Amino acid sequence: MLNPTPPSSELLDRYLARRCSAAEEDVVRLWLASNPAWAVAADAVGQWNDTVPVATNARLAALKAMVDAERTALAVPSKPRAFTRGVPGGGSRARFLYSAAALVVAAGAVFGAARLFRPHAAPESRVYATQAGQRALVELADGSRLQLAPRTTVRVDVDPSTGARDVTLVGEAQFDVAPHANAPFVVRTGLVTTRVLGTTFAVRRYADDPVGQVVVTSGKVAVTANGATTTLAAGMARAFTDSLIALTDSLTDAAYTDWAHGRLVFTHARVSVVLARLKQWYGYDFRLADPAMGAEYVTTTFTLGETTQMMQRLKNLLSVRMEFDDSVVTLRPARESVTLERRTAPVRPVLSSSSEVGR
Amino acid sequence: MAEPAVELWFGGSHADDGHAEPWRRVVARGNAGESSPVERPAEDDALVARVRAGDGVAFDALFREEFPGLVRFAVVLLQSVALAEEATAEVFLRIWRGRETWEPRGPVRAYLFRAVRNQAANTRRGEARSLTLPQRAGDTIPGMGAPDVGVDARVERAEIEQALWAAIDALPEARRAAAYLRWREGMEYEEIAAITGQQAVAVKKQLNRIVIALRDVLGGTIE
Repeated sequence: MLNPTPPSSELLDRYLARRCSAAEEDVVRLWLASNPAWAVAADAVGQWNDTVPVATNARLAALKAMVDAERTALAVPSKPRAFTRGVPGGGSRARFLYSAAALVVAAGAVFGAARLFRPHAAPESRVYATQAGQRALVELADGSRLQLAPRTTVRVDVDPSTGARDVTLVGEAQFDVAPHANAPFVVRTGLVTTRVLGTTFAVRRYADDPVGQVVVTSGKVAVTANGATTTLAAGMARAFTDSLIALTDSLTDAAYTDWAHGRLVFTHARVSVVLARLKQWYGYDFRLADPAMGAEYVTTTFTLGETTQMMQRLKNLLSVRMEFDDSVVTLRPARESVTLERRTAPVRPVLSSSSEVGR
Repeated sequence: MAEPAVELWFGGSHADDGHAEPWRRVVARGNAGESSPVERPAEDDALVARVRAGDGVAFDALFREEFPGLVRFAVVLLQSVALAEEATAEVFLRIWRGRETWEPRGPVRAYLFRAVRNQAANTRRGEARSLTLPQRAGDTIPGMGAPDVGVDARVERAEIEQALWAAIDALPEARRAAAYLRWREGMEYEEIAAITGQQAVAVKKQLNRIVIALRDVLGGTIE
């Protein structure tokens, strides 16, 4: 069998750019059959950065908002920033840090903005909210810290006379509570209260999920539901509804607090659960072209904030191709084997020049 | 007379679902090797005129059509999706702000790529370099629970791609940009030259050299 004629570098360049004649393509394909690494490379550069997610609609909306704001002489932030705000008259002071996600300020929405301050009065009350794909760190004047997961709203009420701290939570947050001997720190989620005197714990209860979770990393908390109180020590976790506190199986500390350390850890988790969690944290709506894949189990870790890395890891993990429609990502099974089928560009010009075909 | 090199459909109407119909645009190609800028086609003239007149529909359509591709190009330069989106959005913001006097030289698409490249250079000067994104295959990922057919082929492919991207990432930015515009966007040397500010002949030589350099990574005999 004759060895295929090696192409020139110029011909290879034209092939990679999809600017060959049909005859030239045949020559290159024959050569690629004996050089599969180049076939992989040709496929790869043809899809260069295809997995980079681009928030076109969000960016256009932000641009329009900025233009509108300029027209009305209002300043609209175009990118996340950290800031410190002092509250006149003493009392609570909070530092609010944004995640790296782009912000779209929804004027007029009470909880739409990622920061919302009202002039403080006694008792002092603040509301903080995150959108899908955002995280936030709130540090109270007493040193207590709240890390908010995406799609989370908290209202923090502080009694200036007693120092009592009362937090109403919808969503998910991790609390690092500074000890205060006579002023408990209370987290309210629906009809369930979690009371602490100095500890690190996480609470999760979204509006669309009747079941919440409490995970204690250090110290102790007392969880009360329907008049019954359960005390949890470090390393303990419970699921709860408005009327019941229950011991749950396979509830690991890392799975529910890892996000506070910048990671999403999945251990033998169903793909459907993984995709739902990724939607919450990255803001992308993942849809499986093959629904049966949702019942498969995976073990992996994602680094929060590294969106493109997440996409590539997910692509490799599930062996899928990704089709982006703004924030909707359809996952389709990819081809298993490397083929020499030429990917056709949207339009192919016909060249009439007599280029060299493999000297 | 030079044959049309690229046809991209642009419409002009705004569909009910909020997305504009794509527009038609034809780029007239000059002779190979010349460094003269590619002329702007008539369809681009109409688009420019509409944007200058403050036509938000036309601007929206242009944004939706070009923004994703421009961002992906900017990622090649900035290696950060966030910075790439910001740099690209800044280009469109400047266009809209200065729309009344907007007069892009050459085809609109080439102008946009050129503007993004310039804005990326400004962004790089103003920002600390972010972490390099491992955007592609090569990670060792625990497999799924079910028996996996073809995992060896996937791992081999991932290793090849990892070597490929390591070689490309090691290229100077100008060559990396040329490779992307050529192999991902399918542009002609003259279009790339109009974006990067080089001569078309120089672009062609650069790309040939990149192919030869990749041979050291991918193997194979190339003439």
